Amino acid sequence: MNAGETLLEVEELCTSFFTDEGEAKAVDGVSFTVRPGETLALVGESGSGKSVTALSIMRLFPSPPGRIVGGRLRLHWNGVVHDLVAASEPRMRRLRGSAISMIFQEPMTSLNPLLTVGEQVAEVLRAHTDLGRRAIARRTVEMLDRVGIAAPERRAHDYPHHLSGGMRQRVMIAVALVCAPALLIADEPTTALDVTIQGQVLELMRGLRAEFGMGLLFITHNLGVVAEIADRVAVMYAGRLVETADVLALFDHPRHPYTAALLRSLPRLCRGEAAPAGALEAIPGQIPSPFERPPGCPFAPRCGFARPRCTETVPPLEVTPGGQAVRCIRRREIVP
Amino acid sequence: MIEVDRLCVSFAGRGGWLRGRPLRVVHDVSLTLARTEVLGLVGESGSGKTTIGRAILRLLPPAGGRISVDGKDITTLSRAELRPMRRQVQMIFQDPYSSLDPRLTVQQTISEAFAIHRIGRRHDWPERVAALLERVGLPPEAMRRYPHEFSGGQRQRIGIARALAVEPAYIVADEPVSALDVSVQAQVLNLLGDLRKRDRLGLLFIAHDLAVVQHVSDRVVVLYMGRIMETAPSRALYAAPRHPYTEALIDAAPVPDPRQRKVHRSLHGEIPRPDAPPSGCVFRTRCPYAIDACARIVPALEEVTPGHWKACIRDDVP
Amino acid sequence: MARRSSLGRRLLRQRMAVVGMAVLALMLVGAAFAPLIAPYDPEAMDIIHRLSPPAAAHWFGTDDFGRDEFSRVLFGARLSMITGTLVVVFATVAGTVLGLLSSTLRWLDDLLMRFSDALMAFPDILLAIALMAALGPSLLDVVLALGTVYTPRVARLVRGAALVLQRTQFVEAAAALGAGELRIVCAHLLPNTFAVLIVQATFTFAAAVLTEAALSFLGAGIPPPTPSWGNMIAEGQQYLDRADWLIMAPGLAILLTVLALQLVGDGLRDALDPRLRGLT
Repeated sequence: MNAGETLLEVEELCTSFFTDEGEAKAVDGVSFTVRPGETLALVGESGSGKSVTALSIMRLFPSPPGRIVGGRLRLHWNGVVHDLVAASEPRMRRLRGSAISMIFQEPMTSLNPLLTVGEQVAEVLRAHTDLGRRAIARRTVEMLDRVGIAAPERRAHDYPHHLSGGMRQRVMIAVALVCAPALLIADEPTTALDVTIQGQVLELMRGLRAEFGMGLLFITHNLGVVAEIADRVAVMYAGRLVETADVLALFDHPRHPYTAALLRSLPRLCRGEAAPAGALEAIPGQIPSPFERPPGCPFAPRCGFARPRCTETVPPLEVTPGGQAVRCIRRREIVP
Repeated sequence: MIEVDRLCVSFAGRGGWLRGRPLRVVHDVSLTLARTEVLGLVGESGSGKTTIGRAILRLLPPAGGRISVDGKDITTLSRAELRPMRRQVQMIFQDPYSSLDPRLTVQQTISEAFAIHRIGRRHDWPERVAALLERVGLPPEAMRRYPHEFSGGQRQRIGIARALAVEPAYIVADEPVSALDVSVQAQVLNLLGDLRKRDRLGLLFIAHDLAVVQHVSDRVVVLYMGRIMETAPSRALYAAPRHPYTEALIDAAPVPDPRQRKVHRSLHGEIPRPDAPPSGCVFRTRCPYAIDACARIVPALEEVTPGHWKACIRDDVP
Repeated sequence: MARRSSLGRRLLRQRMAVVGMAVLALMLVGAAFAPLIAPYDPEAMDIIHRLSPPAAAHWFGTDDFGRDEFSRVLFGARLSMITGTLVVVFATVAGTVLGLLSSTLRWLDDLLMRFSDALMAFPDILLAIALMAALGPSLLDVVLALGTVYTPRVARLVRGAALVLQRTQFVEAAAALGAGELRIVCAHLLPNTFAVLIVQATFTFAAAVLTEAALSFLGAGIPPPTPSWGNMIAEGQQYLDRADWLIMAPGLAILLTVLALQLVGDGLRDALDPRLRGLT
């Protein structure tokens, strides 16, 4: 894999949901790239639009009422550039599972309760390859083994409800990776898991990422998980991308006030003798609703560095040659 | 002081007519909570932490042991007899989206507490509600609105206001910030800290996030499969855990610092099913320090240093 | 947070439901003002003009006794609306009480649910006929019979909704505050089941109208000469070859009423269902 290549290009993506209550601008200006073999963490809280971004890339959002209203999505796969916004539904179906795969937060509702675990893995193979029955069975067991499921030949005949949360998540990873996609999108895959199981699954994903060499778009709200798994980080707030940076740079020198405020408001686990000090540095206010976004910079109402001009126009995303990006008109004046 | 002595809680087994054997989910848990103190209850799924919280509020019947509040034994009291105790112990719930009745205004929700306990006169209630809302950082106009008009963080504040309506001495907070956005968690944690100081509340803080628990708690109880593994003052627990499970939990917690990326000594294996607990020490199937004796002996809680207890037969670990 | 459009506005956006409501309104007005609107006494006979086709003098024609079809249809509407309303009230009240009791008293639950399973195992019309045989041929008996037939469905629905609601955190919170069973049922369970009850009520209404017509058609419901759409069709059967309007008029009336109710019920269900939680 050529490190300089791009796998996925997202450029000024805008996805809205047109409901009885008006237009919800779930994604309103997101740009980032994912390179082969790299892990990009997409970080944001509720209303940030991170999940809708992932669903937009896969074209899996309900449409109506959802629609991509702007921007470009380009996937570089097998020497061809696929336009994911304009692609036909049959083309998207061919891409899903073979070029891009997705895993979700709740394994119980993402796995079909009526099919055995083995059947669900085999289904992907049947859709995208023309292997015979025995070859498919063999590949299924191999894949289950690779994701760390003990006694995979036996387990392949189990139904999802026989398995624990962590194991179901491993099955979902197996289903997603069995056809070796170039890009894996993981939408909060460890949020619903116990912390000791979370560690196992993250370790598994890191290993598989290295082994398969795929790009990984990891969506989460947990900055600890980001620190564990990401090479680069893209931060979203209220539908917009506000900062992109290498993981070390992001945690050491966050350049957007939101990122900085978020990092400061986290309670930190202290293993030394020093106990953490009194109150946490909370961010005042709340996240705006997707129906009523404030004019200008979406974070301005809560930002300690806001000036009147921040609410006049939406700050443009400034990209440096190194691939870092910040959406803040005061980025040169302040150290947040 | 709330005193819980060897509490056991069971759930009825599955099945309709042929009810299975009851499933014990909390085993001999003892703890105390004094006013102005914050006790953190930490554990993963199946640890029983939520069940303990509900049992203390007598929302679930204890199957064994004793619970007493300020000296009064409430273990076997009937619903009517329990009513006065509900003015002393209240609860904050985890899910801000389902802990408020969507059909009632904020005022109605909070006033229900006054109605049940006959607090104040009816025409005073709006004033009381306004005062409570102010205490939790919400404007008085909020009382006329419905839950769906508020964000998760605001709804959680309303839930806190409801709990405060009866002026309790103790509050059981069941994962109060787990369902909130990160940028809002700090607000609610700070609020709880304020209230604890101002109203001299005893707070039982149930959570799975170790960083949050450390920040809030004076003492911490670590639970695994319904049993206490370790209990200690917060500082000591995190600086020098004496139980392998505590160490594993602290190790597994993702830290927002990429330089501390874990070369994972991840705990292998899964949490055993509650109906098939391992013999001896229930943690032994995943414990990196397990020895043969661990399968034979159920470790009792021993005091390692004053106030620091662990349930492990080995003294040389972690 | 999100602006919520009111129930009325949402309902109006469902075009089919609006059509249904319009038709229903027409029926209700016709039924309510039947004595004033009807050009003739529905039981007044005029043998000379028997079996005359629809014309200016008799908009829907006359039947084999010379009675004006239009007036009879109007009074039949009155009967259907009254029956429907009373049956809905009966079934809703009885069903709600039984459903709530079931959800709170375990021992009663098993008993009641098995009993209602047994009742629901019978086709509605058969059960209604059996009950009518035991009762008698009057409006009140029809209401009792149909009410009994439709109560189990409501009870099931309410029981299901109540069981789900009892596990919500806001009900737990009320219990933690010290609320007694009665307060929880009245202040929390009932208001949160209104939505399902209203939707079910429209469907029950439709079923009641249809089943009453069937009963009267079979002779087990309202006996002639009181005009019921059902017995009008029964009487008109024998003249199908020469006076088909005798069946068309009441038949269409039943069709339109039931269809309208179904449309309104569907619309209500769509308007009420996912919106209760707002947008997060």
